[in-house]
Amino acid sequence: MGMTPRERLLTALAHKEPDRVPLTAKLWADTRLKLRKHYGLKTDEELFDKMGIDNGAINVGSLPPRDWKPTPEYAEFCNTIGYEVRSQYATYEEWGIERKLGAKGQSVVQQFFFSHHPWESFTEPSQVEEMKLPNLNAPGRFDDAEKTIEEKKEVHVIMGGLGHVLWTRGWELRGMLKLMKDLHTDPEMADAILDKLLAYSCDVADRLLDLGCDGIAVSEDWGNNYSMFISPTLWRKYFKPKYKKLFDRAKRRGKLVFFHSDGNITPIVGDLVEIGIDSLNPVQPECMDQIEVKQKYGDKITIDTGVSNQKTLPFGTPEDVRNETLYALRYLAPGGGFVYGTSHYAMYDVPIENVITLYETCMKYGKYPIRLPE
Amino acid sequence: MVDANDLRQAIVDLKYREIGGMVKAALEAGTSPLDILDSLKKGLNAVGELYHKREYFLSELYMAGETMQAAMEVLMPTLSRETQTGDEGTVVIGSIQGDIHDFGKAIAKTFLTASGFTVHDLGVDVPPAKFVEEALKVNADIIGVSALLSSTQPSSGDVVKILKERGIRDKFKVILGGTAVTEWAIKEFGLDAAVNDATEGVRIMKRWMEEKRGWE
Repeated sequence: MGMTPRERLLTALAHKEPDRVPLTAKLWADTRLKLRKHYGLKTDEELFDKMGIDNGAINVGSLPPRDWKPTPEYAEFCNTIGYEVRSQYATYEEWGIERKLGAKGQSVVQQFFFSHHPWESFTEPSQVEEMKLPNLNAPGRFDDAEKTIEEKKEVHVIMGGLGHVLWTRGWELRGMLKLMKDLHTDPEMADAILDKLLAYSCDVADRLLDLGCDGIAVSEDWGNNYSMFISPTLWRKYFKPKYKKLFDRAKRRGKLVFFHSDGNITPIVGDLVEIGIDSLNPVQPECMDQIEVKQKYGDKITIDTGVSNQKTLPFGTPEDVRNETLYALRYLAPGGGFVYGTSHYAMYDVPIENVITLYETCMKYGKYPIRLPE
Repeated sequence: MVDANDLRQAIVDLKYREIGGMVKAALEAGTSPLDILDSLKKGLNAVGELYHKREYFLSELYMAGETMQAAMEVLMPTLSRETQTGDEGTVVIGSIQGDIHDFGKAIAKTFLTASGFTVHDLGVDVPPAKFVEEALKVNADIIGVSALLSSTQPSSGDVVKILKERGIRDKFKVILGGTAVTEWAIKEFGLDAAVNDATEGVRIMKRWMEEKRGWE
C-alpha cells in the first residue's frame, strides 16, 4: 500500500524521501480535454489517477458571500471565459477590479485583461485607508473551504489559498506602473496600500487556519525571465517585513507556508527562506539555477517545479521531455524536498505526447530511492 | 549650476521630481538644448547598462523613462523642429495576435522613442498582416513583434512569411521581444533578432540603423 498524497507530500516537505516523487499538474483546459479524449476518460479526477498525478496539496480560499449577486456583465463574462460565477476569481468583482475579454487564440479558454484599476486615481494615502474591503464575516464566505477541508483533509494537505496578497493585488488595484512609481517616489502612498492589503491578508490567513488548513499559500509574481520587476533593495524595504508578518501567522501555529512566484527571483530566494517559506514554486526552469537553489536551500525548502512550459513542453520532443525529467530526478529529487510536474500551465500548444512522457517518466523512475538509467 | 554630468546622473538616479527644474536651470545658464538632450540620452544609456548588469530592474527602467519624459517636457519647446522628430529610424511595434500583454512593449517603446526612433504602436492582439500593412504605410525600417506567451511567439513567423510571400522580406528587419523569448526563435521563425530584454532590443535596432546608414 503506497502513501496517501498527504503523507507523500508531508514526507517530502520534511526533507525525507517518500515512496515516490509527489506529482502535480497545471494543465490548461484544452490539454486536459485532449488527454481525457486520448485515454477515453470522463473526468479530470480519473485523468489524474491514470497519470499518477496525486496533487498532494489542495488550495481552498474565500468565495463571495452566499447572497452575492453578479452583475449581468460578469455572469456573461464567466460564461464566455469558462469560469464558475461564484468562484475565487469573483473576488476581483468585489474589489472593483474590472476585466475585459481579450485574445482567444486557439484555446477554448479566452484570456482577459485588466481594464480598470479602482485605486489608480488616488492621490492621498487617506483615500486608500478609507476604502472598505470585502467583509470576511459575510455568510458563505468560507463555505467551500469548510466543505473541502472536511472532505479531503485525511488524504490531502489543505492550503489556505490567499492568492494575490501585496504586490499582485496591489497592482491589480493601483495599476502596475502607478504602484512602481509609488514605490520610487511616494513611500507614504505605497505603505498605505501595502499595509491595508497586509491587514486583510492576515485576517484571511487567520480564518483559514482556524478552519483547519495545514498552512497558507501565497501567489505573487515577482519576476520575468530576465530578472525581477523591482530591485531586491526596494523589495526588502517594502515587502519582506510585511511578508514576514503574514508568514508568522502560520509559523507561530506550526503551519506551512507555500510561496509561488514566476520569473527569475534568484536575488530574493534567501530572503524568502529566512522569513519562513516551506515550499517554493516554480523555481522557473528557464531562468533559475535550480541545482544552486537545491544546494543552498534544499535542506530548508521544498522545490516544487516541473518541465519547462515555455520551451520543452510546447516545442520539445518527447525525448527532450524525458531528458529534462530525468535530469530533475537525478539532481533535485534525492533526499526529498521535491515536487514535480509541469512548471506552469501546459497550454493548448503543448502536444499531449509530451505531457504523457513527463508523467510516465516520473512514474517509472520517480520511486525512492531514485535509480535512473545510465 | 547644473552641468551636463548632473543631468546624466539625474536620469541614472531617477530624479523624477527634480529633473524638470534641473533642465530649466541648465537652459537658463545658457547650456544648449542639444547638449542637454545629449546628456539625458547618455543617462538613459547608462540605465540600460545597469539593467544589463542586473543592478537595475524593470521598475528602474520604467522610472528612467518617466524621468526622461519629465525632462523632455521642459526641453521639447526649446528644440528645433528637426531634432524633435525621431530621425534614428522608424519602427512598427505591437503585441502579436492572441497576446494582450503590453508591459514589455511599453518599455521598448519608451526606450526607442528616447533613443530617437519614430514608433508606430499598433497596440495588442495585432494580426500578423497588420504589421506588414503598417510597415509599408509608414515606410518603416523595423517591425517589432512583442509576445509574452510561448503559444503566441510562432505568429512572429507569420509576419516573416507574409513579407516573403510579398517579396519584401529584405525591406524590413523583424525582431521578436518577450520575456520567454530565446535566440532559438530566430532560426525557428526566420527572424532577424529575438530578445528577452527591451534595452538589448534597442541596442540591436540602433546597430541595424547604423549599418543601414553605412550602406546608403
